Amino acid sequence: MPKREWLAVLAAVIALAVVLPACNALPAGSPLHVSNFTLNLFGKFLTYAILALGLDLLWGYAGVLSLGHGVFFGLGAYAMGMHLMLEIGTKSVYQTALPDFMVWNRVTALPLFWRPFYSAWFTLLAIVVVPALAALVFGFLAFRSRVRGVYFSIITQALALSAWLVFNRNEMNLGGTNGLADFKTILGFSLSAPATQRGLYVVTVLALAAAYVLCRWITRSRAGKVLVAIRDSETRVLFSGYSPVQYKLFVFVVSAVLAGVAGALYAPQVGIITPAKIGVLPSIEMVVWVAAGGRGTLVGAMLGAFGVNWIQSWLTTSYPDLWLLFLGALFMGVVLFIPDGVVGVAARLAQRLPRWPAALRHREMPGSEAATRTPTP
Amino acid sequence: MTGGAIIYLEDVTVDYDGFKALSHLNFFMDRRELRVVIGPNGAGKTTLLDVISGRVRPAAGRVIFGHATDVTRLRENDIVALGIGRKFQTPSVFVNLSVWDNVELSLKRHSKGVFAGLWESADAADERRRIAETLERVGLAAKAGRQAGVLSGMTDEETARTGELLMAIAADRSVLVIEHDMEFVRQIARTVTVLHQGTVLCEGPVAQIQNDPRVLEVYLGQRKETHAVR
Amino acid sequence: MIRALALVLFVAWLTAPAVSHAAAPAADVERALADLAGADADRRDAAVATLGGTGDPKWLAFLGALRDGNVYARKVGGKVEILVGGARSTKGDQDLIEIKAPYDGAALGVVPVAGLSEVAADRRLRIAIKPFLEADETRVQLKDPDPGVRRGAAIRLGNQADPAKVAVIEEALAGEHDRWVRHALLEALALTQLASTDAGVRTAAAHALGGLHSLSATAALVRLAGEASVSAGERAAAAAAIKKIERWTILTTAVETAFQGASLASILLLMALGLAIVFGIMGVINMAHGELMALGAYATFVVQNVFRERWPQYFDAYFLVALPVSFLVAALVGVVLERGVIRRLYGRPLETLLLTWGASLIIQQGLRLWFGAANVDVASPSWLSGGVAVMAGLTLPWNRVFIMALAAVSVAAMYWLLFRTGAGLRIRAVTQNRPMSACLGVRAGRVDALTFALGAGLAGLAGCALTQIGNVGPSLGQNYIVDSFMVVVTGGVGKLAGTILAAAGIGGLNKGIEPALGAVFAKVAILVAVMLFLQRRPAGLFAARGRNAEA
Repeated sequence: MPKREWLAVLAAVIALAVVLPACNALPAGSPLHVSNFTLNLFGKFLTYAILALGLDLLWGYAGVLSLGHGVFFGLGAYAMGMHLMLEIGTKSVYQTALPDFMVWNRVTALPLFWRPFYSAWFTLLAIVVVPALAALVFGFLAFRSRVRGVYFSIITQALALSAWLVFNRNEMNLGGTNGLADFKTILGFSLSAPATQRGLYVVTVLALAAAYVLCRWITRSRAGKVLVAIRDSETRVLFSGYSPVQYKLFVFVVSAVLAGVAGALYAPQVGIITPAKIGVLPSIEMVVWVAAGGRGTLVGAMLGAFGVNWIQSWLTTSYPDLWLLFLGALFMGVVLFIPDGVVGVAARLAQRLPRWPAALRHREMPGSEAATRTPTP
Repeated sequence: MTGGAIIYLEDVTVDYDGFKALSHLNFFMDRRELRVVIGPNGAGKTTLLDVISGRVRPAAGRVIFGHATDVTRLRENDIVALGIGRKFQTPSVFVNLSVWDNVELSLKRHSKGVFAGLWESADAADERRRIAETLERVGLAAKAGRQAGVLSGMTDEETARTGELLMAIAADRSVLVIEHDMEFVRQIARTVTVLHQGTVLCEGPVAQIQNDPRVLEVYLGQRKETHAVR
Repeated sequence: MIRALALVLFVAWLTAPAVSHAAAPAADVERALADLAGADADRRDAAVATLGGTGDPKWLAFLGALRDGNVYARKVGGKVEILVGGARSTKGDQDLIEIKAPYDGAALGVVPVAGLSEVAADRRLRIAIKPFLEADETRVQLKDPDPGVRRGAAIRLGNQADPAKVAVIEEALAGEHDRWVRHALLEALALTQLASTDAGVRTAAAHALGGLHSLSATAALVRLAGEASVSAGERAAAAAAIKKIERWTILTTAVETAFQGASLASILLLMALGLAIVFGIMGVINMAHGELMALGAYATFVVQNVFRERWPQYFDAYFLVALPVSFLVAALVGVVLERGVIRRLYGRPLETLLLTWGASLIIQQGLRLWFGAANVDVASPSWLSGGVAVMAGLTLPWNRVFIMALAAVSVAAMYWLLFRTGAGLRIRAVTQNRPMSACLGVRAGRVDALTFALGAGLAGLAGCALTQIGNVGPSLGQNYIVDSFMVVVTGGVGKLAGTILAAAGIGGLNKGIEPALGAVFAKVAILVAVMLFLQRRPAGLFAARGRNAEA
């Protein structure tokens, strides 16, 4: 990465991870005070931004549209949630070592697959490995048999539906429809303490920065060029001696891991994870974050995740009826009028202005699908 | 053993839902040979290339590359790694990449796997030199940084020069060309193979082929149809 | 506990010497009435048994009034008198009530409510009353003009297996001509006889039940086969009957599963048909297809309401009107979508997919705002309720049969349209090769609009059909839509046969494994199956192969 970009990342990290928490620590009366609620909200949005980065890598670069990323998000979130549930221990309502929902469901012994989640190290590992494995198996089957384009999207949507159905079942011992909630502590720190939330927030910012650097590294490498080439013409990539299966599988797994990490950071900050987060609708909503922000640009994906969710949290409290209408209109509007998202619009504006920050003028991935249609032989 | 043959198709049959695109085809090519394959529509020319490049798996038969590698068991990209490249009928580039990147991706390299692709090659300088050389050779050096999508099609003059390019390439490679333009075929060909209904009709030097009554019959038989399509 | 007691009483009543309409001795009735007003629960139960045991419709009517809390007691000269209440009224600040004699309902004048005490029918008493009233109901129902009602009554009689009812059953049998009612009556008779004290009658009944493939007799037969006190021959007869029934059950279960599979398959087919032709022509999955279905369902709802309000006498015909209306409404919205927005995105399938998803959210939320978030009520026309009995132990509901027929007709119509009309030829041409069709003068834009209208219309039709088997709500489309995507993906592009085969395969597989895995895991298994299937045929069942296969 060029030095200038490193500096930009550093500046953003300082603004988000130092300045904002500092403002949060100010007394409530201060004009610069940022409330706990706002900081928490930001933390949630930033986890979405991590997920959006991965989704953009997959869709914006390699042209593979997944409508099932909620599943990987959910796997990470549930892994973290299980650890947090076990950390509650006997401080639960029923004061048994079992999570409360198991007591309701008359489960008498902790299921075997829950046990390793007592260990924080195992949980950290699971947050990465479980989504990665799921993506590896699913992606291998899909990509190997050359399921692509719309077919792949539909199959991933079916994955989201299936996962949602399964996670809703009580016999899975994952809390059923109510999911996992009422977490008390994380690594011994009380989750209700503002300081803990601040800490989680800072960790999220750092994770986002790391995710950005990782994605940037991939997109700038030759592998990144192959990904873009795959979006242009998979057949030609194949006959240039690259295995599109391998590349797509790689980027699918990376994006699943980013989604898992995002989920794992989401659970303790929001305090609950339910199957409703991993179904068909949330999964496709994630796509619109990327589309609205500007796919094929990492900055766009992050901005989209942030912006769309900000609007959502405002609309769902002020005008709940309008949210779905807005979301639908956003889908249609972005696709029809700004296929390269807000960042694309900004870049086009920037080209007209003589002196504009170079970061915006120089877009990483010029052109949308509209401009990139390959002639069919 | 196949002796000096670089590629050897033995009794290859390709079946598209009952239609035999190739039927018990036997075909071989020598090292450093420039071979032109002609034939009327549906003769199996494209399918022949599809089979060699691994795009189509034959229902029966073997395709031996070099000494004993049966390419029918390999994936397309593995076949490319063996050294069998293919250029399609319709010219296509990665329109979202620069001209430079396009060439960079098509360079032959030790590993084209994703993990190798994440790090810069050990011989990056040498690689850059090879890319620059290639661009120089095809006359695109000045446009290396441009988006490949903005390149326009070829002019007639360039088409003629493509023939020279092909012959130059064939100096140290085996090249299999599928062509309809007989003028062009005469320009480049030493040996011509005529395919008809999925099998080899005849094979030989251009002049001999052009006067072969069987070839004339096959093409004349097509004339009516050709006319109707126009 | 209470239930057991009621059962004991019931059995006591069965074995009571006085059956049929023989009047109980007046003294017993007197005592029973007095007991009812008392506080002793056992004696109250006994009183109900006495009155119900008379079998007299007038006493049964009295028990009905008692159950409904409409029986009162008053003290007249130290004696308790039981009365049935009538119309209430007020005069000044007094609540008045009309009173009648308990047996014949003779009017006894109007008295202040305050002077009466209600004979409360608690839960226990109501339970004691219930069998008597039901038995009476059965007798009336056996003469009902509707064979379905008669059959229900016969089945109930069989469940009761009351030896006292043999005469009733035989009488009904003599006058019965409907095949399935007769079957039920014969079954009831044999079931009743199986409880007989005569070994010969029991053996014959066991034989008969085996011949009738009576599933409901299995428990009784198993008991008989294991009974040590009866003869070996009788046990053998019971065992033989059980075996016969079991074999039959396997057959009916298989037929039923096949039917359910076919029913699900035809629902999937109805939905996937429209989806598939749109997919064929545009290469895109229309994510709003489910919402177009919901539109069809709501159109049906509106048509129903109009009929209910304007032409209640023709209510049954509403569904026939709703079918074309739902087709047209959805087709219209489809055309607006296609001409308005989708048209601009041809050749960009992923973006079209997102666009149609956006449209689906808007339609869905629109429906929610207009009709409310709750499910609406769509009544079935009378000709679609009930079912047709095809074999002993198996009744196929009419609504499912109708949907299968509708799917078949739709498929036939599609075939006719695609292969026998000029428009169909153009649709197929554009599906196969868009640029070439354009060269030959096919106006691709019109074909697109037509195809989209057709696909959307079929979705509307599917939605209309779905009102007969499921809930109608704004998210109706979401329940089946992913399954129909699976059908389209499995079926492949451009060939109707692929869609039909895929619908049949997925529907059949789903219902086939549902008993073993449950609905949720059956769905997951379907996804796995589709994934594995795509390993072998990545472009579906009937993908184009050869040179044009892929770009």
